Amino acid sequence: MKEVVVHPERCVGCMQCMVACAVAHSKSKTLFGALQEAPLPRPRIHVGVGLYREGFPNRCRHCDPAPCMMACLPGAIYRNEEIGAVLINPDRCINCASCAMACPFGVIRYHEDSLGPEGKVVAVKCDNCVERQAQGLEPACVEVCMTNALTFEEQDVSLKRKTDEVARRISVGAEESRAESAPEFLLLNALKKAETEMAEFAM
Amino acid sequence: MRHVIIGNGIAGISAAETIRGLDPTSSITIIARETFPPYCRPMISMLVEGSINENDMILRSQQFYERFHIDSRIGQIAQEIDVQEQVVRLISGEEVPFDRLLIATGAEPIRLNVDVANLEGIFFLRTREDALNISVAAQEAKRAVVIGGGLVGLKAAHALKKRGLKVSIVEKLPHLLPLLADEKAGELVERQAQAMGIEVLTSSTVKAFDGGPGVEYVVLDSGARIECDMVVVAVGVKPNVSFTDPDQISIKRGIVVNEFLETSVDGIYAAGDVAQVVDVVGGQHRLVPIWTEAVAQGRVAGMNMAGRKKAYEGVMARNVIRFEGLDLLSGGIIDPSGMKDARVVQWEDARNSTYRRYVLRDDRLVGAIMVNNIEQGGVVLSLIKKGTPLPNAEKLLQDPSFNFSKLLPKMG
Repeated sequence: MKEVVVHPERCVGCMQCMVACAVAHSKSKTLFGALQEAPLPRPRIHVGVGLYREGFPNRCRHCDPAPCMMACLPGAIYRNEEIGAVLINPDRCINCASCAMACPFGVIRYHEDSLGPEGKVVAVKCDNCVERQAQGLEPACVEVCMTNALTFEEQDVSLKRKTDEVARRISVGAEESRAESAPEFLLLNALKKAETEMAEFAM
Repeated sequence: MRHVIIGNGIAGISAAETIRGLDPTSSITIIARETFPPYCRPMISMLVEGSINENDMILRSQQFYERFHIDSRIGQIAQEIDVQEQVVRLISGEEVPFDRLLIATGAEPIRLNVDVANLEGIFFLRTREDALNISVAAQEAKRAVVIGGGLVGLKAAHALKKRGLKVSIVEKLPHLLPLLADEKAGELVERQAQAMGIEVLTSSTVKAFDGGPGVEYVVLDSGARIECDMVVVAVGVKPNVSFTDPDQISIKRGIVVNEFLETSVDGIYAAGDVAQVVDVVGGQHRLVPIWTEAVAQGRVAGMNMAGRKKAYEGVMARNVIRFEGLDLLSGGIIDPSGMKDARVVQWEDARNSTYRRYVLRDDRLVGAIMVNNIEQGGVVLSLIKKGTPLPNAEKLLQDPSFNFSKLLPKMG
C-alpha cells in the first residue's frame, strides 16, 4: 500500500499542492471550473510556515489508531482499509469540533464542502485522494509537487531509503549525508535561516 | 472467562468490542438500563432542538449485541455487586455471575437542593428519554428556565430558544461555563447568548419553585421570580454508584481505579463517567466525565479484562462547544490560582473575534482557552498533555500563524 511521504527539507512553500488539492476535491476537477463553483473548493493540505520561514506541507497522517476517529461523537470518522485512509462521512458529521480537540497536527477544517451535503458545515480533511486512487491516479498534491517534497511510495521503500541515509551518515559524516538527501535545497534553506536569525538579532 | 459489563453507554460498548476483538470465545454479558440501541448521548440536545430524529443518534444497530455474541440484559438494573460470590444481583432478582466485571454505569444528574414539591415540568437533560420528554413539554411551553450555565445548560437553552421559547439561564457562579471558561471567555459566551435572545442571570441561586400542578415560577435568592412553564435542571452530574458498597469497592467522588482501570477489588474494573482517574496535568485523581475519555477508558479496561495488560495514560480535562457562531475550546488547568510559578498569557483580538488564554509553568503549557479559530486546538491540547518543553513559549503561542510547522525542530 502506497502512502504520501513528506520531505519537509525540500518544501519551498509554493502552495501548488493546496491548489491541486482544492481542484481535486471540486466538482469539475479543473482549475477554471473549480473557481466558478459554490462553495469554493478548499484545500485539505495546508502549507504552514516554520520557525525559519521554511514551508511545511501539513496534511492528515491517517494515524492508526486515529485520535479523531476515537473522539468522533456520532461515529462519522472511519477507516478505509484498502488505501489506509481515515475518512469523514459528511452526512453523519455534526460539526461538534471534537476532532479539532483530538488532532495533534491541526489538519481538520470546518466548512461547507463541495463534495458534502449542500449548505451543511462539516469537518473536512485529507482523504488520501480516495477518488483519484480508485482511478489509478496518485494523490493530487504529490502529482503537482515540483520539488518532490511530497512523494507517493511504499512505506518500506521510503523507510529503507531513510535507513540507508542514516547508515551513510555514520560512515561518511553528517555533512555529506545531508547534501545527499536534498543538495539543491541547502543554499535556499541556509539563506532562509540566516535571514530569520539576522532579523531576530536586529530586534 | 465470564465478562460482565454494567452499562451500555459508550464506555461499556467500547469495552465489549475490545474484549470480543481479543477474545472470540469468552462470554460477554451487558446489563443495560436504557432500552434504546447504544446512542450518542451528546446529541440529545439536538433531539430537543428537533434538528435530528432519534434514529440519527444510534451508534450501534439493534443487531450489535448479536453480531458480537453479547448476552444483553436490556432494561435491567443492577441492584448489588456481591464481591465474594462474584455475582451481580439485578432488581429483577436475577443473578449474573462474573469472572471479570466492568462498572460502566456512567453518571446521573445532580439534583438541586430545593424542594420541587412534585411540580410537573421540571426536567433533567441526560438521557434520550429526558430529551423526548423535554421535546413534548416544549410543544406547549412558552417560557423556559435552565438552571446551570455549563455545557449541558447552554445546549439545552440553545435548543429551546431555537424552538421559539423564551429562555433564561440561571448560573450560581459569576460567569457561564465555569469549568471551561475564565471570566473573559464566559463573558463572550454570555454576550453570544444574549445576542440570540437568551436571558442570562449569573451569580444567582435558585431558592424555590412555585406553581401547581405545573411549575409556574422559579424563585431566586434575590427574591426575583421568573415566570416559566418548564425548567431544565443542568447543574452537573455525579457518578452512578448506588448499587456499589463503599466498604467493598473503594469510592471517593467516583469509583477509584488504578492505572489499569482496576478498582480496589481484583477483577473488577471501572470506566467512563463513573470512574475517578488520574489527571495527567495536575497529577490528582478526579472525575472528568467526557465522551472521548469514556471511549478511551472503555478500550483500556476491555484490554485489561481480556488479559492484555495495558496502562491508561490518564485524563486531561477538556471540552469544546460551538454556540451559535461562537466556538470555545478549553483544556488542562485554566485557573492557576494556588499554583506556584504559573504565568498567564492572554489577549483578545476583537477584529477577528478571538480570545486566547494560555497558562504556562516554566517552559510548559498546562492549560488553554481558545475562543474562535479553534482549528489548532488539538495541537495546543497535545502540547499540554505531553508536557512538551516550549522554548520561547509566549512568542510561539502569540504568533498569529501558529501551526504544527512551528513545533518542528529547527533545520540546519
